[in-house]
Amino acid sequence: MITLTINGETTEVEDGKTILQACLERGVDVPYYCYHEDIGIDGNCRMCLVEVNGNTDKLTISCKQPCGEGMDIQTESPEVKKARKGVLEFYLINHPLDCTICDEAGQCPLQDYAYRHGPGDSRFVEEKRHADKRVEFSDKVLFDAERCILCTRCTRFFENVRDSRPIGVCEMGGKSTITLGPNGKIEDPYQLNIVDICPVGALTSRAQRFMQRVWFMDFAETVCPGCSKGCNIQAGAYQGQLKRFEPRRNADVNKSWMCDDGRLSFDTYNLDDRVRGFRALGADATIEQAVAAVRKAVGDGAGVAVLASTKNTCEELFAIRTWAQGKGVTTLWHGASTWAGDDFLKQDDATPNTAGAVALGFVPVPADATAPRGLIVAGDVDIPEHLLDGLDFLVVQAPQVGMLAEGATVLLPGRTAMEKRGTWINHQGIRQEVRPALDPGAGVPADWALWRDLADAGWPSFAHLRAATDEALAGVVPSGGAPAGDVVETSA
Amino acid sequence: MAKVIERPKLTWYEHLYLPAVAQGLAMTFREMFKPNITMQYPEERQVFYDDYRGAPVLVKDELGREKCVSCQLCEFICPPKAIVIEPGEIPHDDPDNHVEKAPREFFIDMLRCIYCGMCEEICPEEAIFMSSEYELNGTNRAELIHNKAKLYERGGKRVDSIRKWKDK
Repeated sequence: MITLTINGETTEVEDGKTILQACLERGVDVPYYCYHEDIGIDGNCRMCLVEVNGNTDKLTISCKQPCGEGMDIQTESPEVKKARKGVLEFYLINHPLDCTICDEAGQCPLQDYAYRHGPGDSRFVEEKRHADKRVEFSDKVLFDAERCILCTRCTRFFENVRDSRPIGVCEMGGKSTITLGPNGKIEDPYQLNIVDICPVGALTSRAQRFMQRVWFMDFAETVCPGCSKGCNIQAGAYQGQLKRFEPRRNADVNKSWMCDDGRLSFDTYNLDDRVRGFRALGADATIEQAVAAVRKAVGDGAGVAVLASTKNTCEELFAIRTWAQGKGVTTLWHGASTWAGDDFLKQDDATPNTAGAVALGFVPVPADATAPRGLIVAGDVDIPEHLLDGLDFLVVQAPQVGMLAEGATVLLPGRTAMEKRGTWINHQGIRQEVRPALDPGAGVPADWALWRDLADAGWPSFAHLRAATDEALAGVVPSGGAPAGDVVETSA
Repeated sequence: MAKVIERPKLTWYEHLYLPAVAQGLAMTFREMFKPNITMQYPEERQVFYDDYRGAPVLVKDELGREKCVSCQLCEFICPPKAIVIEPGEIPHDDPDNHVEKAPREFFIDMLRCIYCGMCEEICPEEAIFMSSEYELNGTNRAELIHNKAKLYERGGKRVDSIRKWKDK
């Protein structure tokens, strides 16, 4: 441990930390662009200057300077403030004043720092530098060379995180710019992360370009439902429509990253043809009629199987299991779907809660399974064809009207993964909190409440169901009962 | 308990009645030759000073280009939430593509608008102005939700001293 003083406060810092890391950990606001927790240190932006041991002749870049014993660090001295102002004035010389158009506005560190630390005025009367404002880096990413401040976070993301070099810095001095390498457009399946880490609006995602201002969106801190990795995301919605997924930092799961497939899947949760209300025996029904119809069809539970989607949360699966046990249904299947994963984040299992389903006693549909007498389908799931032959009845709980919903004896409304509440357990065994980003509106009750009503279970609120689920999972999941890994950190 | 008001006792002069008629007619004739202060609306219209806050409209620049870049600050500031903008990208083959962004649709709900002028004040592109138009009527509610085409039609061209996109 190293003892040093930050702004007059003596504190202890672990060995090997830099001054910037020490300051950020203690909530001391030091502006920075080029440093990023998960990319590493570079030291080119000169934004994080601090005063060390009273040396005002030469300020230190705090991101590169390791902490030393007995250091006296000042982050708000007049010299530091003056230096920040100067650095920002240099940045703003050539940065175009197009915040009105720029998608980054509202979440732009340059905008924020110019407001907080900047000179507030420009002495630059000459013509600004002009450069190409629309370079196609790939089918997903556009680059605006005028806005770029050359922090090289994007090139270092590929070098340090993805171990490739599709883009780099070329030319010198005022002509420096980021350019594509000789192999042409970026093809990396994680390339949209450079749009997030770009501290200005130089890199924009073509799917989200000019869609909606960030300040109009409501963000829900939740988990990506795309695969069993469970990347922490914030889902931005505007007027009931999802507009974007952005990764949240979680050092144990996804660091600051997520895959492009997961990120661009946001639109699949904006459903038009929803199942609203209940249907039983081909006619609209009330919830009481639907519950009665299910009860009558299931009878004593013999020969009935449950096939639950692994997009259901642990709480919902627990409620389904409670219902099944109460009705004498012993066959609990889960329906996980697969896609091609990779060796970075994306997993082969394309559903987020297979581990949770397994922990709660659900098994995959056996290859030699014969068609049951009745099948209860909970959630969005692909059903093996042979299970549908010779069914007496089919109960479907689905968010969307589809082929399966047409043939159902009883149709119950369901919620999509972006409307659910509860926890998912990822492939590492980390249980993570899922929060609804959308409200499906009238006629779609919460899944957990629907299964509670079917099961006649006595959980007056979600908290009671959560407690019961925690108990059921205790000792089964490596992280124990309590949800873990819900680290909320947003890097600039 | 009713209050009894005594009738005033009139003098003989007041009882004559005719002097009062003459007095009234004298005023009528006097006013007939004074200049009018009323207007023959709707044939005659009031002329407003420039800062009058009538219905908000969108304007085009001296070359007939859209000034609005759909930054959505007016939507943000609008106290009654009357403005809704759907942002859009200017197509790549458009000569004005360097401006990059323009509204795909722009709605002002005139049933909500309170004519406060905040939109005009906040607009960084000087694209929205309060016109002198004050007569807004329609046969149904939908007619009073002005869309982009209607707002540009009412706003027309406006030539300002600052021409931000001139050489860009």
